[in-house]
Amino acid sequence: MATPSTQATVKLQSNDNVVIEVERAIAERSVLIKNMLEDCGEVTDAIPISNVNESILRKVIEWCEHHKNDPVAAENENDDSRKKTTDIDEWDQKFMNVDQEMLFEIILAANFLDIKPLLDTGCKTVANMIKGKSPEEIRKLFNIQNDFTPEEEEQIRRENEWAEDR
Amino acid sequence: MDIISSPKATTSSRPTTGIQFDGIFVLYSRSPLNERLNDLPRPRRTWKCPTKGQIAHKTGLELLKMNSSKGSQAWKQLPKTPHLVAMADQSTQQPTSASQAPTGNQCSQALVATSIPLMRLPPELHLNILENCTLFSLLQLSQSNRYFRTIINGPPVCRLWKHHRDIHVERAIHSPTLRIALINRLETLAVTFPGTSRMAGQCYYVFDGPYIRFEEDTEYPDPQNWIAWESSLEGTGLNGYNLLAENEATLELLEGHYDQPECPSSRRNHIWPYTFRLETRKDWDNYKCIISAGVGFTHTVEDERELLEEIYGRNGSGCAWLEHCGWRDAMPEKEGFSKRFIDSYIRHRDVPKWSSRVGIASLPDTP
Repeated sequence: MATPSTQATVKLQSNDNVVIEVERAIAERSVLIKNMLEDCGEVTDAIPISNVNESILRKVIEWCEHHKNDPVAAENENDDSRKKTTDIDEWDQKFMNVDQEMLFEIILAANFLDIKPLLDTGCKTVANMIKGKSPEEIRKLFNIQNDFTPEEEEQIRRENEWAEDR
Repeated sequence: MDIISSPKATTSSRPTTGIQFDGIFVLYSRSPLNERLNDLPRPRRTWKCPTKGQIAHKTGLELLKMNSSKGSQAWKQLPKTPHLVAMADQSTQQPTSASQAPTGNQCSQALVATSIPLMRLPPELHLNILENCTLFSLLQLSQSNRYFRTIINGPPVCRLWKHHRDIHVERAIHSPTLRIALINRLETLAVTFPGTSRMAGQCYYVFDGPYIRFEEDTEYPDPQNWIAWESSLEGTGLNGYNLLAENEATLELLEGHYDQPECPSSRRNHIWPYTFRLETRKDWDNYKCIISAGVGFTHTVEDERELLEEIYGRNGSGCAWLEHCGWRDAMPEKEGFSKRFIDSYIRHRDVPKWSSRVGIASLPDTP
């Protein structure tokens, strides 16, 4: 049976084998790591974060450091009850001001590491990127293939013409 | 068989100023008209629908929610919606030549050649993104690609079932929803007047940007309680309270008077019309608004007939409403509706007419 650990730092190993030492409190912003530490007690070896490379891991740690004092959301908090808003904290906006590849990597890492606030911030950022854009602009922005047939496009156009500015 | 109708846009010309009413967005119905619509060439579909029993009442997002994992388990599980994953995979456009790759400043705006494009994210993350999208964004995104159309709208059969349930099971009475879009904004919101067993009148509105005006006979006059910003896209999980909270919106009574709704009979004390202004931090110029109205009928058939005729006119396009609600079958001639009355929609369907009472400021009141 593992006993609660009081170690101050933990080592995280990215998938490109870079070990980064961080404060335990910061690492525990990740529910995945937190659970692991609680289950395993004191961990001296580096914890492999197999889905995250060094640059993304450093970004995630940077976010966790900045938010280390934020209140942790209750585990049983109902997702649907979360306040839906696309407002993003100014610091987070700057943090998320990265190229799409890194943004999606951060989102995936947040999902993998189970850092819900970071995941939400990333998803809100993507939602904000979509906001105000036409379907064609969205396709262009995200490299989405238009796989509608002409008939479907016509049908969709008819279905949505009530929402068009004319 | 219930089928899904295409939305019908009014053919009215547009006003040069003021309120602009663009169309009527009617959801579902059973009707010869829609059977004809159903006869139109059907688009190619890639959605492999589960059995009705499996997906009844579920929209795409609900299916995704049902299938997606949560919390710390999320990373451990593969998405259980392989068809959606496959659709997403197929929907990622690969640059076909180096000349298509973005260069220089193009990269900052449209980083199209990323190693992890949006479409490669697992569906549960798409779901998370969609839940943060505005309604208008969802609408636009649903038009971008079959995958997003499917997960936002749900496959047609899901929508059909959901509607069927709404109409025939969950609600005490039949109270379908009419949707009327007012298009002088850029964002989509909807106000729903849910039908209830106590609803005897109709809910109507004028929407002039941030104003909503209610005419006499509007039922349930407590906007804080019943105005809901409802997704026009079924099953998105967004509802009025989310959006009201998000926008920190309040409603300010500008004109008239309305009583609190604790006692429905108090509505006789209303001073009609009354008008609210929606107050919000958001820039309303960025909003496009949809107002939905539902009419519930709980009184005798004769009351209903009179009400309908009053609202829509004896030979008017109110039949469209009947038609779209499936009441054509439900209300036989002997119970009050003349065949001519009901059938008139067939003749008028292409030019929906709204009585001045319904239209209030009349929506398509073009100069």
